[in-house]
Amino acid sequence: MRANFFKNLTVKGRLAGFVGFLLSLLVASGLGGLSGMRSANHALSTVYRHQVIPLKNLKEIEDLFNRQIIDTTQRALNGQLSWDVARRTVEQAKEDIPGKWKLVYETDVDSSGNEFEARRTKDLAETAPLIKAIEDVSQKLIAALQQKDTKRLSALMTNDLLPLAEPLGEKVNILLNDSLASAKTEYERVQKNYKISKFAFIATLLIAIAVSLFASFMLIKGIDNSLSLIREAMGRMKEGDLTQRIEYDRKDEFGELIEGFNCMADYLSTLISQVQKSGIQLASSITEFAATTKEQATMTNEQAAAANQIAASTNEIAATASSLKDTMNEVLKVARGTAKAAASGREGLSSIDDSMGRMEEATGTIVAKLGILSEKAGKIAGVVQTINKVADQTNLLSLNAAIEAEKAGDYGSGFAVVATEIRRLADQTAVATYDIEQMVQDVQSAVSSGVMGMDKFAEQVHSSVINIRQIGAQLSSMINEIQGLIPQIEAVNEGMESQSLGAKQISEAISHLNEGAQKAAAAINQTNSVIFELNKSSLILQDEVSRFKVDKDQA
Amino acid sequence: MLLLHFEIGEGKYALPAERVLKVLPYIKLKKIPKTPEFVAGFMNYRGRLIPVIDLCSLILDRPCNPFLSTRIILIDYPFGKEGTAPLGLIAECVTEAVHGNESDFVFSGLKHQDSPFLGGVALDEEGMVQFIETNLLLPGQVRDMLFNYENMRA
Repeated sequence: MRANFFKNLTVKGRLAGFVGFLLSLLVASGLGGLSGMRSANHALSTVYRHQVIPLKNLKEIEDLFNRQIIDTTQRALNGQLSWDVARRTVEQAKEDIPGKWKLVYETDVDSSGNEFEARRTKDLAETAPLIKAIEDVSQKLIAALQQKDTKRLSALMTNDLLPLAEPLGEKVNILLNDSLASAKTEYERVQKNYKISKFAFIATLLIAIAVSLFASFMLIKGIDNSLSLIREAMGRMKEGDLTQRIEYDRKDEFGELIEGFNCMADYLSTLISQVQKSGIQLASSITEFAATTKEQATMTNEQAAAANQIAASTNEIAATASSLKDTMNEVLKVARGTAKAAASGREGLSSIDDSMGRMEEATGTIVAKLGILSEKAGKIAGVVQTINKVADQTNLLSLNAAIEAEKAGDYGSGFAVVATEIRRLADQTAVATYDIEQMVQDVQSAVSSGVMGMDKFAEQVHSSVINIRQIGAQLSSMINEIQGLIPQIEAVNEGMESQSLGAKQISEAISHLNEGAQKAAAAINQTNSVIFELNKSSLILQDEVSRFKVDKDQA
Repeated sequence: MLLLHFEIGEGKYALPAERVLKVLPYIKLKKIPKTPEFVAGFMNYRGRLIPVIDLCSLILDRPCNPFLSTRIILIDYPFGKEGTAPLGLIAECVTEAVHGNESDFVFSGLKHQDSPFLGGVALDEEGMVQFIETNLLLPGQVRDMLFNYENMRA
């Protein structure tokens, strides 16, 4: 409760309390000093009024008596002074003395009641008859002076006046001592008061200094602690660490300041993380943008190249169109010539057709004859094969006969010779039939190839006839078409002219397009440099922002 | 002596005519399952089944071409202690019987374990001819399989 109270005390409150405490001490010590001074002053004025002034009056009374009364009387007796002057001087003194006495006496009434005052009052009371006696003597003196009676005056002088002088002096001395004693007492009292006041003042001053020092130390320490917290946090923030927050449980001005600081750090952290995110987004956007621009530049360049190609192609088309026009003129001439030639060719073709028909018939006859030849050759081959088989059998028989003859020994030797001879004949037959077989095979292959050739020839002739007929028909239609073609060629000619013109126009348009593409390329280059600058700025921004450290959940 | 000449592929061979029973044209044979490749089959000769082997298969590992001159040589194959049995041999170009001496055939010095029937070589006017030892034509196992008459009698 108490700790909380101190914690929740504001710096202003603490300062105010401290200063108030100091002020109250100051006021107290001032009041104490003032009261001491007042008391001293009072003592001084008391001394002055009660001791010094009565003393002065007493002294004046003594002087008046000694000088104006006794001296004047003496001098009047000695004749040094006129009677009138002496009488006026004494009168004057007689009038002044009671006034002065009254002052002395009445002063005593107010006096403070110390022991000396009581004694003084007693002494004053004893002096009063003396003053009364002086007044009486003065009256008598005035009367004597008025009468100018030297004798009486002298008697008064000797009998009354002079005896009074000594007691008066004594009494004045007693009163003077009384006053001095009283003043001394007063002085001692004041001195004691002063010592007490001094002690109190010094004690107050010491307490005030101690309390001030302690309170100042505490206050400065409190402020310094809070300030160093803030300073540290500020230092870290200066280095870019925005995750820093200050913990502070007091509810004073620093609490508000730190709350503000934390709030500011939150805002800054959010802002910086936003900026960082934005920076990254910006960088990626710029990169995309740059890539797009590069593509665009490439496309534009390609477009320009394509436009150039198109322009060249168009020029070629124009040139080709004009040359084509010339060619078409020649084609027209040729077509006319062709029409004529085709008409004469049609007549020639009909005679070829007849010849071909006859040739077809002859071929058919040849093929038939060759067929017969082939058949005959086949028959020969069959006969040859039979002969061959017979020869083989003969060989086999003779072989077996030779073996049997060998087994028979000498009895079969003649038979063996016959067998060998037969075998030799069989071998010769086999060789001869082999030759015949070869020849027949040659004939057969020649005939079959001849038949095939004739078939092919007949087919060719037949197809030639058909072709010639078709060609005749085609020629007729061709002639018609060529004749119909001539006006079309003329139309094409006109078309070519307009095409040439169109190609020129296209060429111009393409050159305009090319200029546009070049301008676009220049613009893209400019954009590229702007993007480069932008990218640089973005990198700088990212670099700058990356100095700040923020919480990851924010980033 | 009389020698029967024939060909196996490109090579010329000869065997003595005294061993030959008869030379027959090449006819269709009955294949015998589960016999070596060179056993061509059985032929019916005058009501008797006679085993026939293909010399092209035996020597060149391919059957003889079916030419007109490809024939079956029926020989007297020695079997058992003193007995013989007829055996058919298919060969190409069996068309010639020539007189010659056994001493004309010179042993080459080469004797293969799988073909002990290949004998000496003689020079002829048309080239070299190799002698065939008909006794050694069949490996023992095949011979026992083809001429198992004892079992047949039993």
